Amino acid sequence: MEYAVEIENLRKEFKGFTLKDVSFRIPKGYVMGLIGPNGAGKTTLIKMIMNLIRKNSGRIFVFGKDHIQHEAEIKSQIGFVYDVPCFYEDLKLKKLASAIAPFYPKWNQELFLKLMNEFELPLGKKFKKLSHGMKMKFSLCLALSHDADLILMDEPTSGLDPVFRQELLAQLSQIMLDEEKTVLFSTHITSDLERIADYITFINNGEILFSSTLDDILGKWGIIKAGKDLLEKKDIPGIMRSQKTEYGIEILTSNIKKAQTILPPDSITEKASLEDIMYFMSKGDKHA
Amino acid sequence: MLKHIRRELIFNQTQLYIFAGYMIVFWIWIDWQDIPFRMSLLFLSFVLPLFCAASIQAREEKFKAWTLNCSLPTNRKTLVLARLITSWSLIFAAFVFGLLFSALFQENPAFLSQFLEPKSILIFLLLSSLFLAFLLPFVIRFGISGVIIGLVALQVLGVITLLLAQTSSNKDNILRSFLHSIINTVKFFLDHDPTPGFLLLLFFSAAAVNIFTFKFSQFLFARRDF
Amino acid sequence: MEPALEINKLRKEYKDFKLNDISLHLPSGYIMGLIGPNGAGKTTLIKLILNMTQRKSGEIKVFGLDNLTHETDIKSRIGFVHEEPHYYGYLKVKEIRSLFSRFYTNWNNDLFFSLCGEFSLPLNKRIAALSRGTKMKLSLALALSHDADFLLMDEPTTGLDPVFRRDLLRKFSEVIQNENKTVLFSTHITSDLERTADYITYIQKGEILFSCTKDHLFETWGLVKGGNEVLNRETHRFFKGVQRGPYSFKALTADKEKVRRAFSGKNILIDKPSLDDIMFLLSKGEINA
Repeated sequence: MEYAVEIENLRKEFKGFTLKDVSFRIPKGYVMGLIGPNGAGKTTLIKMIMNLIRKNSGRIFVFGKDHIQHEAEIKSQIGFVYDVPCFYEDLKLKKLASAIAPFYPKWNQELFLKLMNEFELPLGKKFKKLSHGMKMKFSLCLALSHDADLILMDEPTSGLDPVFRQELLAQLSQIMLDEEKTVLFSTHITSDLERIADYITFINNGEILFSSTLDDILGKWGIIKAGKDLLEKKDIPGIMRSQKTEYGIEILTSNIKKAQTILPPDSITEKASLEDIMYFMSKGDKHA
Repeated sequence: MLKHIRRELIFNQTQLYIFAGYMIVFWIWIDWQDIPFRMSLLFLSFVLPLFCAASIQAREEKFKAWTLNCSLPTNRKTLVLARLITSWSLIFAAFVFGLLFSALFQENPAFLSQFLEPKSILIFLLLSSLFLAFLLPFVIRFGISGVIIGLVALQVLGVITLLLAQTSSNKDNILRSFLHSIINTVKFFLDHDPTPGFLLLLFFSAAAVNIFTFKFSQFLFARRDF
Repeated sequence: MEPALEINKLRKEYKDFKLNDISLHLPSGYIMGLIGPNGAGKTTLIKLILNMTQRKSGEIKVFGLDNLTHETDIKSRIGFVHEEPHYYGYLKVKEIRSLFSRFYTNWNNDLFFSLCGEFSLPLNKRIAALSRGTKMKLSLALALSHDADFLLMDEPTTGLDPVFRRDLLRKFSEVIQNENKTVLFSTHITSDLERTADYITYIQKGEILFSCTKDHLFETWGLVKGGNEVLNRETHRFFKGVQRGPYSFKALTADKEKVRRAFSGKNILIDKPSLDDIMFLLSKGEINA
C-alpha cells in the first residue's frame, strides 16, 4: 500500500503544550479527517507537514519523500487551505492568483476561472471585501486549481453555510474519484466527516488517541447505558471511556458487539456518532 | 527567481507608488534646501534600504502572508534570496526614478551627474549594503517591531555617545577620537580618488556584505516557526 | 413584556447588496437562530442592531427602545460576539477583562474567571497567540459575564469543537431559564439550531424568507419526494424550491397539508424537512416562475 503521508514519532515542544509521539499514515487515494478539541494540535500538525512549524524530532514523509529535503518538489503537489486567511488583503483576487500561479507547474487557469465562477467569487474584488466564508472559498479555489495530489485543509468548512459545505464535499468527492488524490482535513463539523471521510484520526492534548477507518468507528464503536455498578462488576471489552450520569453510567467502547454479549439485560446500547465519541474521549474518565 | 520577484512586486505594488511619492518629496527637498551632494548620498543610502526592506516586511507581517509564502513550492533559502534581490531592485529603481525626476527641475546638471559617477554609485552601494545587513536579518528574525526597537536603540546610543563626547572637555578623549575616526573614514572614502583599484575594493566589499546578509538572514529565517 | 427585538422595514444599501425592508420580531425569553447562505446579510443585520453601520431607513427597537436614541442603555444590556473577534493582540486574557469590565455596571469578575476556567482559557497568554477557537471562547466569556439581557452573537460556534459547542448550547439554554433573557445567534451549523433554537429566521440575499418557531416550521413545512411525472407547471406554485433529478424530485413546501390534499392519489412522500434540506432547496432549488 502506498502512503501519501507518513508521520513517525513526531514531536514539538511549545511553552505550555507538547505534541508528542505523533504517528499515523494516510494511504494514497483516501480522505482522512482529523478531529479533536480546540487547542489539541490539529493546526500544529498540519503546519508541520508544510514545514511552517519546525519539528523537534520525528519524521514526516510525503509521497515517500522527506518533507524537508524535497520541500519545494513536494509542495508543488500540495494544495493547502488554512483556517486563517494569509493573503494580502488589499489586493484583488485576480492579482493574488496571478502571483501564485507561476509556482505550480500544473496550474490550470481554465479550471481556476471555472471554480471562481462556480463559487461566485468576483475576480476584480479585493480580498478584504470578502466575507469570511468567501475568503475560505477563495483559498479552496486556489488549492484545487493546480491538480494537487495532496490536499491539506485546516478547518476548510468553518464559516461556510451548509449548502456550500455540501457542494464542497461533493466537489471533493468528485476529485477523489481520481484515485491518486489524497485529502487530509481537520474540522469541527463532524457531520461533514461522516459524509466524506474514509479514515479518522483523533488528537487531544498533543497525542493521537486513535486513528482508524470511519467504518470501523461507526460500526464497531458504541455507547452502553447501564446502572452504576456495571463497571465494578465486569471488564467491558474495548472500554475507552466512561461517564457517570444521574441515572447510572455511560460507557464508550470500541467493540460494541463483544460488549453486548456480556451485558446485563437492563442495559441499553446505541451507536456512537463521531460527536459522541469526541465527547467521551475528551470528557470521560479513562480506563486502562 | 523571476517568479519570486514578480510575486514580491505584485504583492507590494502599492508600495511602489508610495516610494515614488517619497522620492518626489525627497528630491524636491534636496533641491529646495540646497542639501550638498555628500549629505544627499548619505541620506539616500540610509533611507532607501530602510524603506524598501522594512515596508515589504511590515506588509507581510500585517497580513500574515509568510504562511502563504512558506507554503508555496519553494524553500526558505530561496525566499530570503528573493527578498534581498527584490529589495535591491526597489532601491535601485527608486534611486534612478529620483534622479530622473530631479533632472526635470534641477538647474545645476553638475549636481546630478555627481550621483552618476561610478564612485558615488559604489559608495551608495556599500553604505546601503551595510545598512541593509543590519536591517534585513533583524527584520527577518523579529519582524517589523524589531526594526523599530533597533532604530530607537541606535538613536539612544547616538544621543548618549554625543552627550558623553560633549561633556568631556579632554580633547584626547577616547570616545571623541572614536567618533572622529568614523567620520574620517567616511570622508576618506568620499574623497578618495576613483582609481580602478579603489572602485573594485568598494564593489567587492559591497558584494561581501551582501553575501553575509543573505547567509545570516537565511539562517535566522530557517529557524522561525509560523 | 417588551419584545427583546423588533425590526420594522429595515433597509441598508451597499454597492452590490441590500437589506430590503426587513421586519423581525423576537419576544423576550427565547432563543432565535439566524441562518442563511454566506453573504445573505446576517452579519449586516447584527451590525445594524449594534449601530456599527448606519441604516438607510426603518426602525430597530431593542427592549422596546429605539436603538439609536437609547444606544448606551441598550448596549449595556447586550452581550455580543462577533464573527471574527478583534482585540488588542498584545493584551493578555486577564488584561482584557479590566478593559471590558469598566463599561458594564453589572460586570461580575467571579463569573468571568469561573468561565475562563470552564472554557480552559489561559489567563496569561497574549490574545494574539490564541487560536481562533480560543479567541471565540474568550468573546463568549466576556459576553456572558455582565448579566446581559440579550445575547447577540454572530456565528459564536464557528471554529469551536463539537464537545465545547454542546456544552455552550446548554449554557445558552440555561441563560434563558431566566425569562427576561434572550438569545439571538447566527450560525452555519444547523444541527446546533435544531437542538436549541425556539425561533428560526432564514435570510437570503437581504430578504427574510421565513421567521417562525421551530415547531411551526417542522410541523407545517414538508419535504416532498416523488417521481418527475408528478410535476407540471401547476404544481410549482406549491413549492418554495424544487430539485429535479433524472427520475425523481425533491421539493420544499411551506404548507404540507395543502400539498397532501392537492396531490392526493399521486405517488409522493412527504417527510419532515431538516434545516439543511430547507436551506438547500431555498437557495439552490428552482423556484416557481
